[in-house]
Formats: sequence, structure tokens, C-alpha cells
Amino acid sequence: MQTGRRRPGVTAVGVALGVLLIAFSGCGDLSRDELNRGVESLGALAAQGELIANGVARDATKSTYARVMSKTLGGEAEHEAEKLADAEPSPEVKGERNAAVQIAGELADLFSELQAFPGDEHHGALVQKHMAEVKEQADAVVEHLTGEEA
Amino acid sequence: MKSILKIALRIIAALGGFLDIGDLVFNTQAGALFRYDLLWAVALGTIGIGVYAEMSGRVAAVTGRPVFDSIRMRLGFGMGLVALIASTFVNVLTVAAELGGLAIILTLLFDAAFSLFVVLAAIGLVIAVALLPFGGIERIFGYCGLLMLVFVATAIHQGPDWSAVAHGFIPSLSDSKLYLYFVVGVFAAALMPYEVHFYSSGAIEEGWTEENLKENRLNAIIGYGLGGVLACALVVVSGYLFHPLGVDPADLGTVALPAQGAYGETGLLLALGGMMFCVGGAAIDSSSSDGLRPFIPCSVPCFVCPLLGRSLPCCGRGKWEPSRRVFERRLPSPAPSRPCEQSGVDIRVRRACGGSILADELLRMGELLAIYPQRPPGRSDGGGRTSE
Repeated sequence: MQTGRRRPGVTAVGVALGVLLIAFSGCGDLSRDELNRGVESLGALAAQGELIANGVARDATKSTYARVMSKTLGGEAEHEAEKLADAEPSPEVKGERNAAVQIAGELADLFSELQAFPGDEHHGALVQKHMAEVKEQADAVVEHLTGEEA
Repeated sequence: MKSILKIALRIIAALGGFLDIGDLVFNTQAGALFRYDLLWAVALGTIGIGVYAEMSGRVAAVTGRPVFDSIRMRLGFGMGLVALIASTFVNVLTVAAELGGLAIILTLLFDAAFSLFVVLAAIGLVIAVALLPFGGIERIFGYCGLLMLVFVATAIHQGPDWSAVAHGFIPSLSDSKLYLYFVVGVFAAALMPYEVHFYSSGAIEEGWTEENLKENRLNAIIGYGLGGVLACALVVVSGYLFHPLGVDPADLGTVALPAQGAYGETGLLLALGGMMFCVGGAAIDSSSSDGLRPFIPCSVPCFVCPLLGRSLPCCGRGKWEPSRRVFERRLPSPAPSRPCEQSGVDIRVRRACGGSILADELLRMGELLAIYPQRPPGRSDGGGRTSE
């Protein structure tokens, strides 16, 4: 009668398969939904940037606050750009993915400008204007992806 | 007149100390995602914490024991331990989050290394817990937390659609999992266990008796009720400003943006200052409310008392004696110069700290496990405080 003992080789193969399954489960094409979520978060970052830049433009904020917030949000935009650039898009959303990477890059640049000049009203006003434009671009990409008005 | 003023001041302190980092983040995110739809959950959480706080204050005033001690006595050591582990786990997470929050706010105000502010916040926390009496903590952080009223002013300044705001107080459910998650999150953020621990410990430390029951009720109902207004204001300002823009206020700094929008730099500083005192006060409350005291031998050096749950159930432990149903039999007279006395901890803590003998403590723990009765004789309330 066979005992319940398993052979070590079978266990090892099972573990290896499990590890491979886990390791590759996150890979695959960047889907429309995932890209949509990424672009939406870029739009949200742009909206926050617009509010912060508005404070700088009106001289209605504290420069340390504007600098630290810009640094944090700029880091998030950069991270999003890296994520999108690394992902392999499915063919039908390749154009939107490239647009999203560009938007994220622009956002990161705008935040770094705000970080460098957190007390300059002129820069604040310019960044605010550009943030609004970037937000519009992000909304347009979302609209294109979902077929709905963002 | 003096007592009315005292009650009013305590209510103000309760109002200022109502919010913590969970409320700040969850309520603001709830507003940004669902506009005013989750106001009912905030109101429900406020009612919950008010009722529970009033109940614990009442139990503490009548029995002379903080709520955690009563739980242990009533339900036994095993259940007490389960409650201890659960609430300590939540409290440790809360303290970590509050420390991180404090460091973020300090970074926003002074722009230096985040890690430096984490260390400074932790040192400040330990010093405040060790040196300040309950009243001092309550007043400093409670009154300064009133800076958060800037969010109420901001909500009024923004002039939202008040009928939509009122509609948000009508409970509603949705199929959305995210919505349900936020219902639970907003409700749970209001019902943090440390608040009740700290509240009932305050009742012990201030020597509340049955005569203070009215004061307790006013504190809980008005103080927490007004605190709920602050929590609702966070949802309203966020729903007004962030929801239409699709902003996700995942960063603590974003919470202050509506106040900046309404009142410029002054509004921003008031908001950040209010957040700092709310988060700092909550960090102190939660680190002081770990409930470990009833499980820590009195042989632990006395200076540790304030760091391990100031006037928590340690208050009661020196009382229990199997024959007379009090602990004091085993403990010698208090040493007058012990640090516990200087920090204003309850007289019973001092007595407990005076008798620092490990063997006695082990015996006491044995008694706790074996013979702690459900209801000590001689008192109808079952609180375990025996007349001496």
C-alpha cells in the first residue's frame, strides 16, 4: 500500500510552477482599463497641481508647502510615467499609451518647476495655465479610451 | 458658574480633539470620491463614538475603573487578553500612522528631511506622554485642535448646495464595493478604541464619581457631536472642491488645500496647525491608551507608568485583595517621591507603583486568572471598587 509521502521532485516542480505563475501574473499587455486608470490619475495630479499653482500665483500659500507638495506629486507623476513607459500596450491603445507617457512627463516637468520657484507668482501663474492644459489633454485621452466625456 | 465654565472648556477640548489622521484622510477622500453621499456614515460614526464614550465615562465614574479594567473583570483574563491584543494592535498601527502624519505636516511647514521629523515627533510624543497630566494633554491639544474650525468656515465660505449636503445625511447604499469600503472606513475612523480608553482613563484620573454623570453626558454628547460637525466639514469642503476636479486627496497635504483656496496662506497655516494638533493629540491618546497596564507587573519601574498607559487599569489593580476583595493588602505604602505622583497619575497608580515586588505581582496575576469573580460582593454595580 502506498504511503502519503510525496516525492521531492514533484514538490519542487510544483513550487517552481507556483513561483513562475506568481512572477508572471502581473505581466501581459497593458489593457484599456489599466491605461484609463493611469491617465485618470494623471488628470487628478494635474488638477491638484493647478490648485497648488493657483496658491503660488496668488501669493496665497506657504513656499515650503508648495515646494514639498510639488516634490511629492512630481514624484508620483514621474512614477506613473515610468510605469506607463515600461508597460507593453495592447496594439489598439498604443497611441493613447504614448500620449499618456508624454502627459506624465510634462506633469513631472511642471511640478519640478513649481518646486524650484514656490514663491514666484509669475511662474505660479504660468504653471497653473499649463497644468490646466495638461489636465485637458488627460481628459481627452480618457474620453478617447472610454468613449465618454471625462 | 465655575463648574459650567469647566464643563464648557472640557467640551471645547473634546471638540478640538475629535479628529485624528483616519478622519482627516478618510473623510476627505470620501468627499472627493462620493461628494456628500457619505455624510450619513460620518454622522453614524459620531453617534457611535459619543454613545460609547458616554457609556465608558459612566462606567468609570460609577465603578472607579476604566473601561478596559471593567472588560477584563467582567469577561475574565482570556477575553481581556483578546481585547488587549486587538486594541493594542490597532493602537500601534494608529500611533505609527499618527507619527508619520505628524512628520508629513512638519515637513510641509518646515521642509526638512521627513525621517528627521519622524524622530522629532516620536521624541516629542514620549516627552508629552511622560510629563503632561491628562488635563494638560486635553487642554493643549484639544484647544489648539480648534484651529480645525477653519474647515467649517471654509465650507460656509464655499457656499455648497446645502440641500445636496442635507441629502447626504440620508443613509444610502450602493452596489459599488468602493462605496461600501468607504462606508466602513468612515465609520471605523470615527470609532477608534483609543478615544474611549483615553476618555475613561481621564474620568479616573480626574476622580469622577456619580456626581459627574451629568458632566460626562454633556461632554460626550456636545463635545463629540460638535466634533462630528468638523468631520462633516471635511467631507463637504472636499466634495465641493475635489469631487468635480477628480482630485484624489491621497496625500495628507492635499487635505489643507480647500482652506488655502478660501483664506489663502492664513487658511493654509490654520489648517496645517489644526491638523498637527489633532494628529499629535491623537498620537498621544493612542500611545497612552494601549491597555497594557493591567498586564504589566508593578515591578516594572514606576517611571514607565506614564509611557505604558498612564492611568489605565493599573489604577484599579492595587485595590484587589482576595479576602477583602481589594489588592491593597499586598502593597506597601506609597513612596512619596515616585515619579508617578509627580505626573499626576491617579492615587491608586501611586499605591501600585509603591509596591514593586515581582512575586506579589505573579501572585496577583494568578489570582486574576483563577479567582477574579464576575461581581465583587459589597457593590451593586459590580465595578470591583470596594469601600474601605
